[in-house]
Amino acid sequence: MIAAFIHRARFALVALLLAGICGCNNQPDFESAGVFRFRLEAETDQDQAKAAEAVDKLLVEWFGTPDQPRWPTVAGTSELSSSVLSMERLTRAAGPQRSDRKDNHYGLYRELCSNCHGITGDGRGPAAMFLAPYPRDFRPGWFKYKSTKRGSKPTREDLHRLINNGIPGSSMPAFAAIEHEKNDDLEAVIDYVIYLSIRGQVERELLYEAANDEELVDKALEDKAAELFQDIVAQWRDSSEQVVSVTEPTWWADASEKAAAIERGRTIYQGAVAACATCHGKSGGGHGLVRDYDDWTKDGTVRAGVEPSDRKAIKPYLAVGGLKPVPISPRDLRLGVYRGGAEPADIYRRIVQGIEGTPMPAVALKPDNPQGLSEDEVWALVAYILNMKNEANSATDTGTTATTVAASEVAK
Amino acid sequence: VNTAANTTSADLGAKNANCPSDQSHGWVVFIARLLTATTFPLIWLGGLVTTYDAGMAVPDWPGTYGYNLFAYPWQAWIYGPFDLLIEHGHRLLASLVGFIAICFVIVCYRTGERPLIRNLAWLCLVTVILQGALGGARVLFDARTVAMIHGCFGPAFFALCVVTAVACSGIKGRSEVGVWSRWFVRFAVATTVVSFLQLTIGAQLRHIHPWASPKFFLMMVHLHLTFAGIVLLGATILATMGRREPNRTLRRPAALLVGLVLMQIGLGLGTWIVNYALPWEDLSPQLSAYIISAKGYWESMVVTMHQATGSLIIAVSTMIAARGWLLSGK
Repeated sequence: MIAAFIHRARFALVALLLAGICGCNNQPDFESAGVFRFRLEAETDQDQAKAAEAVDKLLVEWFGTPDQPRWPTVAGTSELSSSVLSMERLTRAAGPQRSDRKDNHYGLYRELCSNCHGITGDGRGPAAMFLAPYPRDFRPGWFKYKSTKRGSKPTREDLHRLINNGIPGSSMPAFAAIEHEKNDDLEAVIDYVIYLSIRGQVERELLYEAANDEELVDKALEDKAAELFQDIVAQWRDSSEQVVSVTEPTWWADASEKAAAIERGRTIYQGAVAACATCHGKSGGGHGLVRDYDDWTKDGTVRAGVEPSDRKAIKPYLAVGGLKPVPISPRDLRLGVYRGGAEPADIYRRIVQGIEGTPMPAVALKPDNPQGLSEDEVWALVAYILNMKNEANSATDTGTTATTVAASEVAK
Repeated sequence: VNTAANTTSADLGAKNANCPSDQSHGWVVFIARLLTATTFPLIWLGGLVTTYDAGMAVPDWPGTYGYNLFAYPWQAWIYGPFDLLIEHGHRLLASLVGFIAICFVIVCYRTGERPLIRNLAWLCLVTVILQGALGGARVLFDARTVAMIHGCFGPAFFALCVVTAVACSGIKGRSEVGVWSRWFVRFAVATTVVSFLQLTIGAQLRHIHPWASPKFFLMMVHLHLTFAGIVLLGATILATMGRREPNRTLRRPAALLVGLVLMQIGLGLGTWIVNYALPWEDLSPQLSAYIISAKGYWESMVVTMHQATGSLIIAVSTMIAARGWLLSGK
């Protein structure tokens, strides 16, 4: 009976095994920047296929594949490159996942990150559609939560903190549990994220240059790529020089002075200069009347002349790999959950620098802008924001729930 | 009813019985149950291997780092990395299951077991060998898809063990066949099939390639949710039908199945939360500060429990189908 069954099913069994072993064990490739190309084609009204093909070819030569990453050997950049990442760690983070007897883990990016951030780091991993906010697309080189100035790259410490601690209020987990004492897995992941970001930014900027210079592809693509690569790597190397220094005011530890500062902060929050209430709402519930999108969404929609809320108009954007546009929600400050860090210094930096890639602007500061806030006023605002959770809790205790406050705000 | 229910196992356990509902030799019953009982922890451990991405913690097969599987130094195993501990442990436990399957075949012949049981014993052995080969192929070819097939084949083997154990154990209460509805058996079989399909969809999500498209993942999630509803419906119908059945051997597992499916839905929700979180701010301000701990203890336990409970659901619905089949005298 069994022999007969095996005899009958032998072809099916062999086919099943072959399909599994051969057919589905393909080598992954990095995906092209389809959405950015869509934007460029909309901007220039020209087909960018030739440029995209040339750039793809160059990127494989320079950066390799997800299984075998390479690092460009551009003249004069070896020292620059070694200051940004380690090739040994990069190789360890790449490829399929495995581990050895010494507990060294390989393929870390695919093990820990790619399910959300995608194999290319484009924020289009399999699970991306379900996450709010969407996973970060590393390729434009924009990072939201960092200690550096707006427009600068984050430091390695910034990335380490986010990966190690996770991001509350999002799907980004804390990877502290995988940090082994004897190795540097998280450092390897950081190297890989930087590698993907640099690769992606070179791709984008090269495509942009090619779209605006028809002769570039045929004559000087490599030279341009080298120039861009050098510039981008230098930005990463110099990121620690761009850290926004923070000094807490002397009154910060004094309870009575801090209480007075909170009241000053309340006025500043509602005022026209900081204009926090415009988006975050009067009570901080995030129920302002602004409807906007982050830069990752705008990149393929608004900048391509597509209205993100127009279901029909976004179809071509979705067809090239864009994720359904979702309006960005200003934070509900009453929750006391801060994605970019809950330390006073973190809040301070986000006020004075804004949040890159989002509509959150940097506040105008004195003395550069006489109408702006002084250092002391910014700290008063920090004190007020950090106190919002306490105020919300008190309101709840006295019967005024956050929901009713929010509802009244929306009604206004 | 009582007369039938109180029939002693000695009465039912005559050797060489030809009726499929009769009990086998005591050793055969014991080994069949042992095989089933050891398969469930094996599935658990296999799930843990997947949860911790430890499938490639031992790069060779059938040996372990050049050693014979059984000769690998136990100190290096026990005190080694966690991934190695569970992957090598999974292989050792699988070997034990394979060894039990071999013993089962031998004992079936030694006790002169009826052809049905002998064939089932052979099928168990062939299946466990095939499953081992799939596990080996997963390692040697480093193929995630084979890992998925291996993950689905395990519960199928578990269900086969359950069928074998039920067939060996015999069934009490054959005199109640008259009140038995053939629809019950059909529903039990249908629930088993749907549960298995549900498990394969879950395996797609669990072993998804990082380069799979978000749309494919979205489709699989929706399919998984739909099938969860179908399985719950099937289990509820079975339990409702089972309530009219005086025989406890069917009534109880049918009620257990509903409980397991409900628990599984809760675990499914938990699995989603510990993998991808929820938009907490919209649901619960109190939980908005929750941060997923990647590969944290509880996170891993929830995910693995979800996978193992899926196998258990298949096993229980298979048991109901097999018992119903025996009761109906087919």
